[in-house]
Amino acid sequence: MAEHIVTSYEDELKFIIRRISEMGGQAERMVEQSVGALMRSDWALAQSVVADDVLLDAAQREVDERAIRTIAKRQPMAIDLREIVGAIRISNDLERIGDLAKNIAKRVIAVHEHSQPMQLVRGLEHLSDLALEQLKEVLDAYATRNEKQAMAVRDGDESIDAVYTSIFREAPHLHDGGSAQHHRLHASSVHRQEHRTHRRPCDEHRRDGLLHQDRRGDGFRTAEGRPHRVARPYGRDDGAAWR
Amino acid sequence: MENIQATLHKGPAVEASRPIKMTSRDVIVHYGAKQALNGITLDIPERQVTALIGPSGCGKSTYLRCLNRMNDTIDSAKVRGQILLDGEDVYAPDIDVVELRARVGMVFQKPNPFPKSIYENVSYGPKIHGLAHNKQELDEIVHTSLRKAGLWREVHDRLDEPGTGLSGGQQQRLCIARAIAVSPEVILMDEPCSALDPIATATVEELIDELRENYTIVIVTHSMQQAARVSQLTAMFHLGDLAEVGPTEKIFSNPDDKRTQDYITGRFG
Repeated sequence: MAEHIVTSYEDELKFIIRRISEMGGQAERMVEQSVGALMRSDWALAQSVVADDVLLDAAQREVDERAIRTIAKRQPMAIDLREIVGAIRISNDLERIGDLAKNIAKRVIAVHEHSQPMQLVRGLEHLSDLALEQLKEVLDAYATRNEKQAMAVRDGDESIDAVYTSIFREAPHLHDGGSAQHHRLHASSVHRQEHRTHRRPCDEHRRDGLLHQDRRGDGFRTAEGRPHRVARPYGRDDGAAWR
Repeated sequence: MENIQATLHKGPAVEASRPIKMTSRDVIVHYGAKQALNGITLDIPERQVTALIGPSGCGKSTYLRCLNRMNDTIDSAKVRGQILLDGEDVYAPDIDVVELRARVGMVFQKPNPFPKSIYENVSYGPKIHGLAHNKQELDEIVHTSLRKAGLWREVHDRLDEPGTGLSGGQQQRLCIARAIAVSPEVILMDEPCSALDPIATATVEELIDELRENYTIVIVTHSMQQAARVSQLTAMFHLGDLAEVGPTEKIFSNPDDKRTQDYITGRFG
């Protein structure tokens, strides 16, 4: 694609695209480190992931600001407009990845004194490898504007779902240690993912009476009787809301 | 996702169903030895706004001026090919050019009211075309035209004042009223807002949108935003060729032709 006649416009667009790439790198690193912290029970590393999240939040706000300013000033057309709207959405997604990495890190801090079952740790490692691989691929597709590669990532999502299910829904190890262990291990983001994937809270939470079916049968309530909202794809980024 | 994209890329399904008001087939124009248009084939839908865009010298104004034979006034201009208005060849020998220009009116880049009163500016056309049989009918035409041009409220109490005393935006609307007064079917506009401020531009654009109910409009504009705002069909010209034509929403959100993409996004080719 040829360059814009107005160089300052070209610079503005390039800045936004570069910032997205940087955010991508940072999100990737946060996920990598949070899972690494989980594997090695590395409390300090988990702390640094939690602290790093603000950088990604700031980057997202910056991309938003710049994008709005460019739309107002340049009135971008066609491919440029798509580029900018795409950047706003992508930066949102990357920021969310950062939030989820922070969630994992927080959970690591919560459970780091207990030893984890090897089978579970291996499963999580496999899951995070798959997720990181997808993240790398999609960031690569963004940088090189490779449509095919992007489509491939989208289609590859099922493999992660399958591994997830095999770890958390079919594997017996979570149940061996009893509910107490389950509640410790089951990271908040995992709970939420379970909601999104299966449209219901996990078995342990219902079995232990932490949640019970609403009388109307269309939802769940906590032990205290507060409604437990299931369909909430984006919410608070700490897991407290689920307990 | 593919479904969403397919919907976005298709644009509104208006143009295909519209009857065609004007048709051009392989229109070639020479100014002396220089070829300005290299064979333009384009259909102009009835009661829609068709925008002609493209860099300076691409032939869009030349094409516009072919539609009502304004190029006849330039000796060195030679027009070949076919241009039809309601299926009738406008370059046929038996066509009355004056009558043609009444049916296909024109509004120019710079407002050019006659150095006469507001009333006379509008009444001149209907008078020479014999559209009014008495003063009352003529008054009626003048009032209606000024009203349609959105100018009535501003000038009704000073119709005797010179048209040149109006503001730029009002002058341009006066020229539009003058064009409307002879009951045209098609109105050609050559950069009608390029000399106007944003408020006057908005008024004229609003007017264009209203006029679309009754008239077929072809507008040449250098403002991409304006073309995107007022037109339903956009034709992109480049170096005497028609680079691309399609629903305006598609042209400005996802054009097929690289020249269009480069031009509307402000890149060089």
